[in-house]
Amino acid sequence: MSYTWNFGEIWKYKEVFLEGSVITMELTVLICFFGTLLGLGIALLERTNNRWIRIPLRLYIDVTRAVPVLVLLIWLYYCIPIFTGLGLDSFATALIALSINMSPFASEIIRSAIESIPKGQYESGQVLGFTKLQTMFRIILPQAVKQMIPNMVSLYITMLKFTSLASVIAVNELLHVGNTLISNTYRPLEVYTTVALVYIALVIPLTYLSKRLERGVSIGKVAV
Amino acid sequence: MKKKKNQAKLSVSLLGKTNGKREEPPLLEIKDLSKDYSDKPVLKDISFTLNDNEILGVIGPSGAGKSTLLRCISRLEDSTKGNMFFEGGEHGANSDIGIVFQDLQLWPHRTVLQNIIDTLIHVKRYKKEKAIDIGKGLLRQFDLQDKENEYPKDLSGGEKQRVAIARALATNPKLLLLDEITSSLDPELIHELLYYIRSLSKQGKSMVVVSHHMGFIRQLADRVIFLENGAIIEENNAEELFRNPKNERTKKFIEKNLVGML
Repeated sequence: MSYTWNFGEIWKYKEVFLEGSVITMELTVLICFFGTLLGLGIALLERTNNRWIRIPLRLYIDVTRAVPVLVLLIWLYYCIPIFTGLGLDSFATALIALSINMSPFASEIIRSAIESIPKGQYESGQVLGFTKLQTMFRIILPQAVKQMIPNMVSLYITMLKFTSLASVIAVNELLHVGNTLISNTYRPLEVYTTVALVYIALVIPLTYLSKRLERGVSIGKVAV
Repeated sequence: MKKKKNQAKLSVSLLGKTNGKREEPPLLEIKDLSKDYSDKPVLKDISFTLNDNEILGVIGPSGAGKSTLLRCISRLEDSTKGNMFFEGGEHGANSDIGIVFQDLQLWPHRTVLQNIIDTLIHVKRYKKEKAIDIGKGLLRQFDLQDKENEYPKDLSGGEKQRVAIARALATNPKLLLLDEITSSLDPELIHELLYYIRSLSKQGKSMVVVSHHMGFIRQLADRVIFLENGAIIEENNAEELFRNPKNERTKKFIEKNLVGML
C-alpha cells in the first residue's frame, strides 16, 4: 500500500498555520508569565512558619500535581461556568488551567534556586538593616534567577508543548487549527506532519537557548 | 593661645565634675552574656566593656565561641541570657554596628560601588547622588577607586576584604566587628589590611576584632580577651597579655600560635 503525499494542498493554508502558531506562542507566553508568578508566590509563602498558610498551600501543591493537566483543563472548562456563573472563553480557561498546572513545578525550581544561595547572603542583608522582603528581592532572588534559568526554560518548553491540549476545548492554537483543516483537505497525515514540524521549529531554538544559558550560568558561577 | 585652649578644656572638665555630670557610658557593655545551642553552652557569662575609639582583640582556639560572640553583638543570634548595652542604653540600631564576615559575603550580582551604596539607598533612603558620593569616598579611602564598576569575582582577595570593610562602613557605624578577616590572606596582604584598619582607628572607629593571627591582634588591639570553651580566661591590654600572660592556658595558646606573629 502506498500513500501519495501532497503537501501542496497544505501550503495553501500557510496563513492558517501561522495564525495557529501565533495563538500557541501567545498562550505559551501568558502561561509562562502567570505560572512563574504563581510559582514565585508559592515558593515565598512556603518559607513562612504560619501553618494557616502552609497547610492550604501544601494542599494546593498536592492536588495540582496529582490532577492530569488534560483533566484539569476539561474540568475547569465545564465547571467554572457552573460554580461562578462566569462564561470564560476557551483561551482564558486554557490559560488558567495550564498556569495552575505549571505553578507547583515552577515553585519547586524557584525554591531550590533560593535554597542554593548561602545563608551568609541573607545575614549580610540582615546586619545592614535590609528587611526580609528587601533581602529576598534585592539580594537573594537576583542571584537565584541565574541558578533557575536553565530549568525554567525547560519548563517553558514543556508548557509550549502542553498548549496543544487546549485543542480539546477548541482554542484556535496550532493543533486545533490542524484538526479543522483536516475536514477541509482530507489530508490528515500531511496536516499532522506539518503541525509536528511547526512545533519542532518553535521548540528547537528554545532548547538551544536553554543549553546556552546553562553554559553561561556555569561559567559565570564563581564563589565570592 | 595653646595655653588658653588648655585652660578652657580644664574649666569645662571641672565644670562637668562640679555639676555632678555622669561619666560617659562605654560604647558597648556586655554583662553575663550566655549563649546555648540546643542546651550546649557556647558562651558562658561573658562580661566586658568597649570604650569609644578602642580596639578589642578576641583570641582563642577554634570552637571557643569567638564568632558566636560577634554574632550575638551584631544581633544575628539572640543570647540565651545576659544584657548588652550600647552607649548606656538598649542595644542600638543596626546602623550603629557594622560587621565583616569571615567569608565576606559580598553580593556577586552587584558591582563594587553598588555593594557599598545599596544599603544607603535602600535602608537609609539617601538620594542616589549622595550615596554615590559617600561610596566613592570610601572607595578612595581603601584605594579601590578604579574598581568601582567591577564585580566581586574579578577582585583579588585583598581587594575583596577592603570592599567588605567599605560596605560595612557605608552607614558610618560607631562599632565595627571584624570576624577572622585575615584567614584567607597571605602575610603581605595582612600587613596591607593592618594599614587600612589602623587608619580607621585613627578616625576614631571602635572595633572588636576576632583573629587567629596573633601578630595581627598584637599590632592592632588596645586590649585583648582570651576566650576558651565559651568563657573569658584572661583579659588585659594587648602588650601585657602577649608579653606576660597570667593564665597558664593563655600562655600555652600564645606559645603554640607564635608562628602567627608578624
